[in-house]
Amino acid sequence: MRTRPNWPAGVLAGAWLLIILIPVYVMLRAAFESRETYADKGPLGLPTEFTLDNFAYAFEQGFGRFMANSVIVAALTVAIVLVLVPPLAFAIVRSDSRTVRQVFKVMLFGLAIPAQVVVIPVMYLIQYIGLYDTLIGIALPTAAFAIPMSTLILTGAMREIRGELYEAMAMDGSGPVRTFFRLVLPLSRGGMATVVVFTALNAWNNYLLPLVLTRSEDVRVATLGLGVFQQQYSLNVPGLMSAILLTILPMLLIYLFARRALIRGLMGVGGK
Amino acid sequence: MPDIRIGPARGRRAVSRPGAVWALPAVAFFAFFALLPLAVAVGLSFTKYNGIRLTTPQFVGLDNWTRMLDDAPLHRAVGVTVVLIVLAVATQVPVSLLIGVWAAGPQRMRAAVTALYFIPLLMSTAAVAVLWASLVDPNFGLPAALAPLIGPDTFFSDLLGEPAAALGLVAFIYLWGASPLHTLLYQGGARAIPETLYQAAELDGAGRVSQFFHITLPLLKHTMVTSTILMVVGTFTTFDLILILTHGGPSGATSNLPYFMYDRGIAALDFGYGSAIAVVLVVIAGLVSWAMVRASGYDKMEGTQEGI
Amino acid sequence: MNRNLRLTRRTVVVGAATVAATAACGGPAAEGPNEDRPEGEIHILVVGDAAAEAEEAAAERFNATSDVKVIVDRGSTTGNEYSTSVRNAVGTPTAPDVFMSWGAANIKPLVDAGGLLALDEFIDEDPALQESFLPSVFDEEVIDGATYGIPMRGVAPTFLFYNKQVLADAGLEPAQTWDDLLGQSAVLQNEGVTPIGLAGTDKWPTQMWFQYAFARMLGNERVAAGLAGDGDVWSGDESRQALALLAELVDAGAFGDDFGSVAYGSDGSAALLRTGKSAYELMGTWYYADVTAGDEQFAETTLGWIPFPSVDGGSGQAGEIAGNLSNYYNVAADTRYPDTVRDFLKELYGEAFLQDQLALGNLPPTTDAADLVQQQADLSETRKAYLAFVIGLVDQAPTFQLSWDQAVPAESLTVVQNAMADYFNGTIDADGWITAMQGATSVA
Repeated sequence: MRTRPNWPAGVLAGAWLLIILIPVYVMLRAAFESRETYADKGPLGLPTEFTLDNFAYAFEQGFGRFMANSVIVAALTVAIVLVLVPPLAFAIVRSDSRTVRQVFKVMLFGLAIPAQVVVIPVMYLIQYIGLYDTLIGIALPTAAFAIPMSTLILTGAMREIRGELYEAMAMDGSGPVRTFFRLVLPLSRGGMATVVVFTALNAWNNYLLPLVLTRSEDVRVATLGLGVFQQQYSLNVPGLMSAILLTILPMLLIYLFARRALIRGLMGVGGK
Repeated sequence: MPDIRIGPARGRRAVSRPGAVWALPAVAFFAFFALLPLAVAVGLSFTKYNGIRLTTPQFVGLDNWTRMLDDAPLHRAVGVTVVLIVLAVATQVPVSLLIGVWAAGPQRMRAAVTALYFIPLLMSTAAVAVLWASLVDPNFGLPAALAPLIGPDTFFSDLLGEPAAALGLVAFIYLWGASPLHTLLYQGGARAIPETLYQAAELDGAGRVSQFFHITLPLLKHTMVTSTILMVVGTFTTFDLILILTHGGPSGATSNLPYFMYDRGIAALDFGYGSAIAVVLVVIAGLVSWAMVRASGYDKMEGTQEGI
Repeated sequence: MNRNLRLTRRTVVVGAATVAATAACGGPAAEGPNEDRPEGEIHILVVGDAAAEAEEAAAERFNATSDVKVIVDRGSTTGNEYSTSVRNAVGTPTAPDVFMSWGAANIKPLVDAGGLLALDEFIDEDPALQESFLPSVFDEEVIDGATYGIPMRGVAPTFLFYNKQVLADAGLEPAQTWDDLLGQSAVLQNEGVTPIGLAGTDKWPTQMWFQYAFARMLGNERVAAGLAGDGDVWSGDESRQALALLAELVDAGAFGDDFGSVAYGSDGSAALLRTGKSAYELMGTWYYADVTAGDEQFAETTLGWIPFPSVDGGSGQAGEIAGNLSNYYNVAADTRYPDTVRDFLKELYGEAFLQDQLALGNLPPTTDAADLVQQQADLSETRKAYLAFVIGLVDQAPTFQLSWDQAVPAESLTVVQNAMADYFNGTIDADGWITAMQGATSVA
């Protein structure tokens, strides 16, 4: 894009960064302080203490296990979405069939389904197929609800692939399968990376579906595990913040990895 | 590129285009896990049901639906939803667009900084609610910390207690938490714009602002549609933050339609009514998205760079 | 748009079929043990907060000697969400065998649907299951002569806490009457202190003030009648006087200006008392633990507690209290191993469990609570004095009114809470409040 630094934009970006980071600062500070010190200073005090006790407590309560479960659910969800949605997006963008293009409209409505109301029927459904209290049982509906958004993003990425490239593939005698794997997937890497990040994030932070679909401790996910820091009326804020910090780190890593793929992937489009 | 007309046109097209079977797995999966439960909800909207598995839903015909026409708090909830959506679009689009375009630049530092922007999106709603509740506390949070600068009794002192302020706070938290998502989308979109276009424009003498409006924005049109649809529908259907932070208050000022659906439907053991509201929610949000898609020509599935 | 019509029609057909299916699946209670439930185990669903440790320890002790294992599952930490999940699950094979509730209104829908097991047979076999508990607490979940719940966790009346230092600095004694409170507000505001801390965002702390204003003005018997559906209670003169008292207190600035933004959960109001920025707070037994979480020494030196002040000219008896009676364990009607459940329930008045509860900061709702407190080695003398105070308060109370939002039909819980908050921030006036309460309590 620009090679000269853009100072006004940089300043604004910096200002926005500060605003973003104030709550993050509160979280970081609380995570490393004891309850007494945090209560003493309030949320905005300067850090005076550094302790890892909160993290130790979190792991004692089984948080390592809970996070592992969250990872599994997120991975399963992403896997399901990556298997189902790219072919769908390809079909929507390139198919001749009007019916298929209407599926896009269905997905737009699907985007708006509020989780609270359908979660009970989903629970009955999962019980019915015998997957209650399992991690895959959480992943299946989570993936289903991630499909509309992923479809929207991937169709956005795939439509940018120019017609000439398809025609070149056709000249080579490629059928849709070969075109899909040789042309479409590689050029949609950016969109796929975005889908991976958002789907994983959604699955990771999901609270309602795991709450309703599991009960045993060995399939408890991190969002449910946060309850150990709560009493009926009040919270152990530093403890909670340490657990939240733990849950952010894996997602941050995924984002950093996916980002590189995103940047690399998009460089190819349009250059041909 | 040479003009390609080898072979029968129809046969060539049929070879490289996917058939409906490509869409089948995703659609079947979605239909089973999402549309089927939605159908149950639609069915429940014609019943009176208290949510207890042992009791049978009672068929009441259109009672729930006609009730919605007279329910003043419901209409107010619709108003709150609209206000939140307008605020969301008005704040999130400029911020995400500008930051996203800025972040698409090649400078190393921009990439590192963007990673920091992402952190709010990583937090679950419970975390966000707890953090912001502490921050807006009049006695120990930001209002107290800023008191030396702006005085003790200001607009910021009672953010959760004043209707307009609470609504603004919710919109701000949405901006804080959701703009990373849209920033990422815009960043990806801006990255795809070929450098050659900017170089050509510069040779023509176009300034930075002019380049932004004549090159960047038009080529981001589809990204904008994707982002705005997600933004609008997302704001339409979200209520977790409102549930945990403001509890719909003060006095219903932040009760948007999904919260209302939860408060008067599920929490009040009136699943029939809640389901009816949910159906309305899906239909309206879906129609709004569809209108945006049609208005912007998004459904034609063409790339923004066709013909360049 | 052919396709869309087809989709719509298909959806309607599927929807109708599903309603029919749901209707067929519902119906009268599963009578007797449900063989579809998992074999060899019973599930206890507890509120998933830190206090679940006590139940987990109890389950471990029990499982050492039992063939049928007790498994403790942690549910939501929010009361409303927890109750919703129980209601949605009762009757299915994966529903818990034992779960928690807050009072009769909380479980009434389940009782009506036949989802709960009446526990009178268990009590006949083991009278201690009833006699160990305080009658005023135990009787709450006796509905139409049948017992449905056994008390557990803690008895939690509400009363007035104060900061000794703040009052001393202002030259004041702890308030004995409502007028004292009102008068002291002016003095305390002059000192730059918020007279009474209130976590207005959460609404239930606001409700506590109504509970006592009405307990003092009308007496809890009348209040109970009102909560049971007698609308005249709310529109009567004494009710209006109580409302006027509350309005006076709010308008005098007793709660400060910004109580609408203070949240209890993130320590917003406890910190006020702890740091000397407020003088009083009306809260329940759990408050001791919350205030001292930030400052262990605070309770030893500066925390004070008194029964709620009296109101001149009120019809209420001296010593009437309001608050949370207890949590209760309920049993699913279709549990597969009722004998195991009966045996596990014995843990609930067993000493080990009760001591664990004490250690967590809960006051057991048992008749021997005073002895238990004395026996607990880990409690400081101040803590023991505090618990002795609470026990005395409950013992001597002629009435103990359950928190209003738990005493009205479950459908009206949020309506009641909203009415309290709306009155305090001026959105509705006395008439509006009365209408809201009449509507909330008249739901059949």
